[in-house]
Amino acid sequence: MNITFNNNNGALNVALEGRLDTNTAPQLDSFINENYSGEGSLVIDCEKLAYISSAGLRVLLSTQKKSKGALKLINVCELVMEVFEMTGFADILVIE
Amino acid sequence: MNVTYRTDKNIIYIAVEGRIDASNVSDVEKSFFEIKAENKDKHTVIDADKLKYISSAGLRLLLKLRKDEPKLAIINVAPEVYDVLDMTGFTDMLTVEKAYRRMSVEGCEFIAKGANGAVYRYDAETILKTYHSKDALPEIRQERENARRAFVLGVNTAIPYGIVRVGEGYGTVTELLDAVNVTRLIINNPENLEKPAEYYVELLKSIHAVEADEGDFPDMRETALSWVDFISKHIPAEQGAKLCDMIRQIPKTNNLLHGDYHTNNVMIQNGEPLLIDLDTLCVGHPIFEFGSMYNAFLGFSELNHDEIKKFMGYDRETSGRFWNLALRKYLGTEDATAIAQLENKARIIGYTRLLRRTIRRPDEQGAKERKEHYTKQLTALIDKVDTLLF
Repeated sequence: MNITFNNNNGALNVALEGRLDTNTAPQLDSFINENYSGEGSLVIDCEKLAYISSAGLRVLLSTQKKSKGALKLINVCELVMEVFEMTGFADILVIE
Repeated sequence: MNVTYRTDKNIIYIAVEGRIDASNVSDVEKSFFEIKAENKDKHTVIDADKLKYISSAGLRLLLKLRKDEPKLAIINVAPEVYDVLDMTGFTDMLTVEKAYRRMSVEGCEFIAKGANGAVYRYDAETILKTYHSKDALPEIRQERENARRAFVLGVNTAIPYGIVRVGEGYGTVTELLDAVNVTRLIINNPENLEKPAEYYVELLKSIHAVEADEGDFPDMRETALSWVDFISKHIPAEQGAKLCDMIRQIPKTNNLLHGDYHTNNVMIQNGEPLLIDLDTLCVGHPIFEFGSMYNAFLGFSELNHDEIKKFMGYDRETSGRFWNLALRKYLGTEDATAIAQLENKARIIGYTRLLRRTIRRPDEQGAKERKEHYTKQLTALIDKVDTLLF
């Protein structure tokens, strides 16, 4: 999985590319730990995110808790959206 | 076009087949109000499983029905009908439940057969578990809801993706885990249980550390009190009263418990333990968990030592060592007295449950012997132990 980001005066924009699964979830987890303090806005662009598993959902959940609700997901593809809907995450996360 | 209905407790399910449009809406309306008149005091749920199309004339009928019944619900709504309801804003006015997606097991790799269904590999990353019974839905929903709640509370588990229709029955879709269970680790190397016990206890502690919301899961303390109530006629009054007191003295807590925490239910994936089979999740003091764990490791097989091998694949001696190691790691002590004390408390809960189970199944082979054995063990322990807290 590829993680690219830019930090604009405390507003962190992250783009994910590839699969967020049990192998790559730790990568996102440590990225968040290193680059996001929990303050300010956090937007994750999911346009190129092709797949998400439970391990990936878990990282999004902990990130959302850390952001105190500020986390926003954008450009979620149909396949990943289906997972969010079926797991009830569509109600938990802010998805645009 | 065909209108039929069935009742279940205080609900009438009215099923509409085909289309509702201007050409037939008056007939449909007549049928609906006739059915409702015959079933006064019941709530109406429209089963749209076989509804193919609804026109604006049909939508007007829904509005009429809603006047009569503000909480009108429509279930099993096909995608085409759902789109119409969604675009017209009806999904905000009524309770609308989409139909479950249909999946077929045709051409899927068969993995295992269970008591109520079978498990297939659907594609490279998903597993499809089927249930034969048409009535399995409430149970499937409960397990799924449990898993979702536990996942959101931070328990390491695989979240089930969804419920689907398979033939006449139902199925659930989950991700394929690239994992082995703790049972397999024990069997592979029964002489070295350190690492599997570490995984097993790490996950157990993380479950118990979760505080669930009041009322989200069954309360084990209540359940245990109902067991005591059931067996109290079968054990001496003095011990029965003391047992009841000891359980009452356990504070009511909302610690999450798995409820069936044996080694098959802990998977290891990428060096991380993962919990599966969440249909027994409950809340309460951890001693209740240890009660059911004792049964899984030793209690069930106490009179027939080979039984454990049949279920778990490892022998009773190994099982006992693993259990002891798990207690030691959970308590974080090497103190044999402390470990034995916790074991005795767990046995009291375990035997209470086993005794009830045995009494309820008097025709099973060896029931009489088991009843005697568990009664004897339980009453002796009640005399010896004064509190179930640890």
